[in-house]
Amino acid sequence: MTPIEDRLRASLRDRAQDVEATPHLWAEVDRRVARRRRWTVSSWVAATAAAAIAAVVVAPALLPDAAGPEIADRPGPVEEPGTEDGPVLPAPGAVEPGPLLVATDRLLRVLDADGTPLRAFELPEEGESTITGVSVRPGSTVAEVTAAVLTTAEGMYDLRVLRSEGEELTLQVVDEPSYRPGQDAGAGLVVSGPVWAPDGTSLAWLEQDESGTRLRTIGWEDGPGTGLPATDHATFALEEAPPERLDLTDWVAVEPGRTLIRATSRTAGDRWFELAVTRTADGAWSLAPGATLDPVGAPPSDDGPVRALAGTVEDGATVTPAWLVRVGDEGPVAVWAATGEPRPIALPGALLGPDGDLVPAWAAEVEGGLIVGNRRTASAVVVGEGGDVREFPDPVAHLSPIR
Amino acid sequence: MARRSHTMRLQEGTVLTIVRAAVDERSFAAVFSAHHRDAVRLAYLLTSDAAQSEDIVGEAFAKVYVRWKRGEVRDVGAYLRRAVANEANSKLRRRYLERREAGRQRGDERGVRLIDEQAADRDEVWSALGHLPARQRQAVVLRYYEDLSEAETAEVLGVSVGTVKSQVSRGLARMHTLLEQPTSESLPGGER
Repeated sequence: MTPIEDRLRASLRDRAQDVEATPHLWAEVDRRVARRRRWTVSSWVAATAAAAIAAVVVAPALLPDAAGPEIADRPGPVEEPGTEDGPVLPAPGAVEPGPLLVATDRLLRVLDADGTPLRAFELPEEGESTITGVSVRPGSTVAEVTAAVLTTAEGMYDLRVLRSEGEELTLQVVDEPSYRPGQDAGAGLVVSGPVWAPDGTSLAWLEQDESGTRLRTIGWEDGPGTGLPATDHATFALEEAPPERLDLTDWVAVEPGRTLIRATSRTAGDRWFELAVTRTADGAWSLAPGATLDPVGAPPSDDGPVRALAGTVEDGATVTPAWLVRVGDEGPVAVWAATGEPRPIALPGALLGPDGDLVPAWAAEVEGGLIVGNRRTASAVVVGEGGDVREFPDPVAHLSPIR
Repeated sequence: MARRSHTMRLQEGTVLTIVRAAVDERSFAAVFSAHHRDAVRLAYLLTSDAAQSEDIVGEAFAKVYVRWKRGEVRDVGAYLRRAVANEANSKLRRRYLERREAGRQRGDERGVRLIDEQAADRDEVWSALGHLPARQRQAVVLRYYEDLSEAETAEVLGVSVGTVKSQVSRGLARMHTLLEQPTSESLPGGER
């Protein structure tokens, strides 16, 4: 132990004595749990459970004696202003979506953890731009959201930056040519994404046209671009990429310096696609020679083609999706593969489009479950790991958790 | 047909849920009582902000509860430490951005310091700790206050052991420099 370590340890011990929890802390925990609970399960369950819980929380004698010697520290049935719903206990496996950015074709809204709309931005009708993708930058909070929004009008695509400014949302087009989607694109351009790097330092999207498939990345430092040659922006031509229409789904970490960009197909069968992207010492993203979006086979299943995926399950240096959304003969299912045997959870048939398929689909993993939707019908459902399924209350064509 | 039987299972499950809910509430109260004081102190050491510490711990407990009720938390103390560290990191990051922006608007960089200057005035070591970047500060606090091993610290912070070693080493070196040369420029509280 060096002198500086000794001094540090003593100082930390001393300073820790400066602070004590106040009696309001338990009430604050209770309030936050209750707010999250407003998202959960069906109403009759909530009402019945609330009654049962109320019987417990109003009986102080039932609270544990082990709560501590100081009355101020003991959790109890504290009435806290702003606790609208009172304490409500959850069902196992209940979903905790947390704050979300949701969008329809032209309307973007930030929802609080309890689903309350906080801020909104509507694209003007002029120009008839429609939203084709949204992605919240990692590290955002409900009070301070940064998101990338992809829009299209008359075959042209724009990247826009959504930011919170007080109670307002602003949406600015990225004009710098190096950062614009579709630069030097050929005919028939389709852009999918955007997706953020796991650490939020870069943004990526996929461009497909008659000349081929490209992955575009731009670095991010308070805004698009870093000004550094290694990280500012890059274009990767993906030779031998699958010819079908792909939807970029996410960009996930595998291990330090190693990531995967994942995509799903609107037509292919039991597979999704992965592209390994590594980070070099200077911070640049790099692909192995000849790298492309490789098909990855789904586990053997009768559940039908993969239409969306979300989340990750780590197994050593391997990462697989925690959720797969498929459409089989029995209808759409969400397969939860995070623990043990993959568990199929039946989804309502109403999620399917007029063609009987779930295309284009999207999915987002949230606390305790998944939200999956159909862009075409702007419908979505919330799926709990425990198997509960409920309809998402509002029309939504795009969704990205704020976290 | 498959979906109908699935619904039946859900309804049976909810009956058990109601019974279990009461047990959950009482048990979690005990969990709270056992850990909240340490959690608040840790949050304070990570942020130097007593008021913000309760906010951090409130959110951390709410997150722990979600996992705990599903039986996914074996070591509540460790899980809570991680949740507190993550929340504190978010708060520090936001504070950093706010102060940097404030510094830009004032035309200087004083805003980048991750410190609560009132608290930091109290002693030199505490003050020097406030000068460390968030990740270095977290690693140092977890190692020398929580007495976690490098591996345990890495687990809490979600980084490699090598990163912890590096962060702690840099943090101590930075503090050593600051404590050896407590000039008015290197430590807050002095005349500028």
